[in-house]
Amino acid sequence: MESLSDKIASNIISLSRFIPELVLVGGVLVLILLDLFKKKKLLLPFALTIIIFCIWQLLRQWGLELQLLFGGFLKLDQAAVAWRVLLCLATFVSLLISIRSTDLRLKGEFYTLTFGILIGGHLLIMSSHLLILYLALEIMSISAYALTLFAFNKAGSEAAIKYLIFGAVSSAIMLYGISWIYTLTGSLFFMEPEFTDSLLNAPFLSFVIGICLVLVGILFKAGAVPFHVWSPDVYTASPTPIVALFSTVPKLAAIAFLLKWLLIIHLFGLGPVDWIMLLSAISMASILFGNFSALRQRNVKRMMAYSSIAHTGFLIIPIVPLSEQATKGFFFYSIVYVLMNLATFMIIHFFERKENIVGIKDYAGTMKTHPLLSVLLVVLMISLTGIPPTAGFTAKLLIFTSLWESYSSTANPWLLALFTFGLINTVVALFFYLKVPFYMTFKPGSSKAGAKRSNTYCFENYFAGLMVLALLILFFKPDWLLDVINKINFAF
Amino acid sequence: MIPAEHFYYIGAALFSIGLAIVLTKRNAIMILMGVELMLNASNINFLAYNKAGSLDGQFFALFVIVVAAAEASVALAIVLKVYKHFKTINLDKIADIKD
Repeated sequence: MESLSDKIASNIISLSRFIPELVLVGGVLVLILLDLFKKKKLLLPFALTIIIFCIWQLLRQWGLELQLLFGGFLKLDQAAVAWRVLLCLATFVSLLISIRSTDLRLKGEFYTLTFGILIGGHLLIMSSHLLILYLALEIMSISAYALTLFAFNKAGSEAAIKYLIFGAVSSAIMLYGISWIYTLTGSLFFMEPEFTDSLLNAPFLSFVIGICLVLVGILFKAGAVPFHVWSPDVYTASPTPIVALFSTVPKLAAIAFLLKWLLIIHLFGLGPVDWIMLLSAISMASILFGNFSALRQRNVKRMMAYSSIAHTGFLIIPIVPLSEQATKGFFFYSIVYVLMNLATFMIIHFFERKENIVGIKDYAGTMKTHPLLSVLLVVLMISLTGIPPTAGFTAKLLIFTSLWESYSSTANPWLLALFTFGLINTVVALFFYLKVPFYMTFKPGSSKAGAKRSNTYCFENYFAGLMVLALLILFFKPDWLLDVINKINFAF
Repeated sequence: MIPAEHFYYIGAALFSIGLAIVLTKRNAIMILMGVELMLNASNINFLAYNKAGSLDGQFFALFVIVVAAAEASVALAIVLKVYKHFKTINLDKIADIKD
């Protein structure tokens, strides 16, 4: 038994590795104070500064060796650092999108809850204890329920209660699963070898029930079929900056955790259940359902909701092979997904606020009134589909290559099914993504939309333009990013 | 001394009752009560396993209670908002969003 002073000393060392999260928590407190003293104009610049500071602190951890924090509750490795930088960047851009909505940007609670989601994502990425898993998911969920309401209208409250009830039930189910796993293994530290050993010796039925119940909670946060029912309504009714946040931070954190969880429950291939088969099926179902439901949508944000369900399926593809190469492809795909999704929502938000456009048909004629943003949106839609010359294609190429390599070495028929299925569905995706550019270009707009030409100096032009530029550069020079990713040790 | 299995049975029963309430009731508050039952079912499991001496489960149960309280407060606030807009909390009648 180590002495109390040893424990305190090791906790103090852990705290020094925990600075990025401490920065965020401290930032939340200061934001609450700023809101209290009516300094509403300072909120957004201050929030952005905190995130930049947090990213700077994270970059100082870059290249750090694997270490356990707080007696093994959190596990800090290079992959965790990279993921957290990505989550911070996604939150940063989501906050930038909110510049255009004055009602949102002047509310202090908006920032508090956004930071709540970010902190939850950070904890989920680092967690190596079932309690942290539960707490991180709950921090993200509870903040998300409240954020859904921020449109303060009838539709917003309806979406919030649907999200709340599905979310509360799924997290209760996950908690029950955790309690089963705890009674089976007697340990909550799921990264320890003893945990895996006791899972190997566990009775078949209890093992399957416990693991599946935990998977429910994770897949719900990722928005995968069949736990996706909340997402179309939430995406339709919430303010766009918040939707942009929902479609990236909780989703990526959950899928990154899913990879970690799959590695554990896979039990080095000795387990009684083929989880790869289950996740392949979930991935295929997500892609299928997302794409085919998106085909008949009339609201752009609702279409993007189904599109993000389909992308969840695509994001699950690279974690199924369980190889390091695939994991690197997964990280590349996540970066590209963040870039294209956030840029799309930025432009959607611009049209929603400036021209009051929500339906796909309303985009008719915008190519004439807002040529630059329309061209950017066309490129983004091409990238979301996965056609060259955009990084969306490169990312899909990477994940399908690693999937094919894995199939060649293991000859698991489910991987082949997933491969062909994913490729065919990319074609289906073409039909709904290109509907928006079609209306923009080939349909004449109503007279009122054509009345005034757009202002070239709005900030969306620059930020969305930069992100689209990044997507194009990543197609022609993917090595620039891949070299960085290859240096990260994804712990296999 | 009562063996731990009996407590697991109680936990399973409580969880099933909670899930049944969630699936059958249409009142938002009733559903939240069902969720509370499901959470407490896991608490019973955690505590029953820890009869022997280890404390991990007990601490987990404490955290669950706190989180459940936080969740309930947000949930009730949302239910109030819904009532303000819809004048009902029957979930079958709250279906305005169309695609």
